[in-house]
Amino acid sequence: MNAVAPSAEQGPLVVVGEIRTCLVQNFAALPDNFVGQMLKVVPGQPVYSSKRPVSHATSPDRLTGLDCALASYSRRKAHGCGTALSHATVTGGRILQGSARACLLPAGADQRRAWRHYLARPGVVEITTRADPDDLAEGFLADHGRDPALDLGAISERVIDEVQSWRRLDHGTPLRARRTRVLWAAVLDSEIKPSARITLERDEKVRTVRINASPGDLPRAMRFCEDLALHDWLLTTVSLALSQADRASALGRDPVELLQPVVDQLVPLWTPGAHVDPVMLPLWTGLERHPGFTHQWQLLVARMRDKIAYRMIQLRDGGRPWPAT
Amino acid sequence: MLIFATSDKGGTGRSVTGCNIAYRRALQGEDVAYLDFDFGSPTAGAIFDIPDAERGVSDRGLHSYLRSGLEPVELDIATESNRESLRDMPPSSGRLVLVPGDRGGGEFGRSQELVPRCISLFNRLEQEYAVSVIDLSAGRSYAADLALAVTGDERMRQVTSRWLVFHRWTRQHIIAANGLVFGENGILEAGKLHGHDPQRLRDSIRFVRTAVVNLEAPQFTMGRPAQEAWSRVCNNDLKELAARNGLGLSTLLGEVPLDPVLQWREQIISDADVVVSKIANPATVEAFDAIAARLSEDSTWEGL
Ligand SMILES: Nc1ncnc2c1ncn2[C@@H]1O[C@H](COP(=O)(O)OP(=O)(O)O)[C@@H](O)[C@H]1O
Ligand SMILES: [Mg+2]
Repeated sequence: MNAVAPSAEQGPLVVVGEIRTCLVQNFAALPDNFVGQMLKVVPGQPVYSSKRPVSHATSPDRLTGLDCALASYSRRKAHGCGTALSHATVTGGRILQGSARACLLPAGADQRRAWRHYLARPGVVEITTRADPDDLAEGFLADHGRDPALDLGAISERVIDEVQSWRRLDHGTPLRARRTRVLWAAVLDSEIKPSARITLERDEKVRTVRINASPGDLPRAMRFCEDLALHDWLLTTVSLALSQADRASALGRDPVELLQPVVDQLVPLWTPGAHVDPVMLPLWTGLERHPGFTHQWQLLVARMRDKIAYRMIQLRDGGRPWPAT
Repeated sequence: MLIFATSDKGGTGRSVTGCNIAYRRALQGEDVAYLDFDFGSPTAGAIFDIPDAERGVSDRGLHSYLRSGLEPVELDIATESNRESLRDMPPSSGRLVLVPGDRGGGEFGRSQELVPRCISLFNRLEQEYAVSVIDLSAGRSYAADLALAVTGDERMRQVTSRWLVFHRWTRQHIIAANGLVFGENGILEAGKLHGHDPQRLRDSIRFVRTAVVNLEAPQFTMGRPAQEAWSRVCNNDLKELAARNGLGLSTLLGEVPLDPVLQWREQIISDADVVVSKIANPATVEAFDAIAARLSEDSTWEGL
């Protein structure tokens, strides 16, 4: 099932989505054939988009019915009815994402129709009230607090839960990681070059992405957001591990125990843009300039390796304390 | 690691001690979550001094999550608490987070979805926090049964779960605590029904004595000699009774002395309360600290 990208006859389209990123609950990374089996918890055939430089698999889409209020930036009331699409992705057999999205379209009629009507348009939520596309997009991004109107996060979580409950996972935790959220909203208008506005600092766990692109770019825009979410999660997780390691050293404990699994299992997964269509690459280039994703990553990885090296020297010298860094 | 805090009776000091242990563990450098599963009286918000969560939160608490799957809020103590000492924890501390109950939540019906919901919640917290302390309501409550069902599930077999049974240091409380663990419909019996290995479950249970009278306090040593002598006899009797009831030294995780501050108020005891204002006793903090450290000490949790 592919998200319909209806023609732009009705004017600009708004597509909103939420991505949750976390660790696969298994001590070791999963081999590809396991990932394929695991993703079968969502009926249909999982798709591998690539095996190199790291493997990346996506489950089929599934449908969730929605009949809910929609947030708008102006706080004008809006209501929508239809379906959301959601899927899971697994990268490197290690990182799991739940990704849900819905295209917000003006309804032809102002009355609710039979479900049959909505089911025929997977991934479309029809807005029964008059609403401005920008207003809806910004409203969705702003409304990440309590009681979200259109709760795509919950749908993403459900996909994650289903995947994590696969029987053959050992449910071990090799390293501590926070689950992060990326909210995105794309306004798709006729042929324009993709552009994005990304907010990383609003909250420790929440990032927002606002994209402008042409309607045909929808799948690519979504992929870009998933890739961004994945790399942002990697940065978040590695900084967390580093601060935990600092605390461990301050308290006289061995930081290597915390860092080793991060270096072994996460460092190889840094491949920004590798799974992103060339059309979207300028957005990555922008991020590399500011805030300098890969530069940040390299600094963090270097710090981890330094800490491990210090510890090795310390052990070689008979456990003499090394000055704290 | 999941730490289930339980007790046979209410008013044993389960919540106050549990919150203080969680706080000490965070001071020891680990990220800690405190989950208020005491559906009848969620008091953790008051203990951590979070005004908006005094008796639970108005929405998105743990009840709402269990009932409808709405993601529960996580309140960061460092930003939400009114107390300076909790807001200014040293940089070597881990994060301390409260997942509150709902105001006026009460008990609720059993449903098929509760166990899987709890499993995904616990697994998610396990990924993020080194320790999660879960405050269950007193007695053979629904929360306790749910916890046993969840920890007995296949998906939780890699997660270390430990049980702390809090009780006061009196005859009745000792007997009641024994009943809660070893008695009819007790934790061991209920655990077996939920697929727990009896020996393993038994090895994961330890007792915490709360508000224990200190016989070395001036009240005794400088008071009437007869009182002191009688108190010592009582204390020895209790030790024997505890040993006979399976609550002896081998299953003891720690003992928290009666503290003047906690007698007046349910709160976190900070180092400043001991060192600066000198209202709390050093021994109380030492006890919390020791229990917090023992949560993960292998020698403490060796099979009996
Ligand atoms: N070590 C202690 N010394 C003195 N009072 C205590 C101690 N521990 C707990 N208390 C007090 O006992 C009462 C009951 O404690 P609480 O934690 O609310 O019990 P529970 O959660 O078991 O119902 C509270 O007033 C608390 O301040
Ligand atoms: Mg209580």
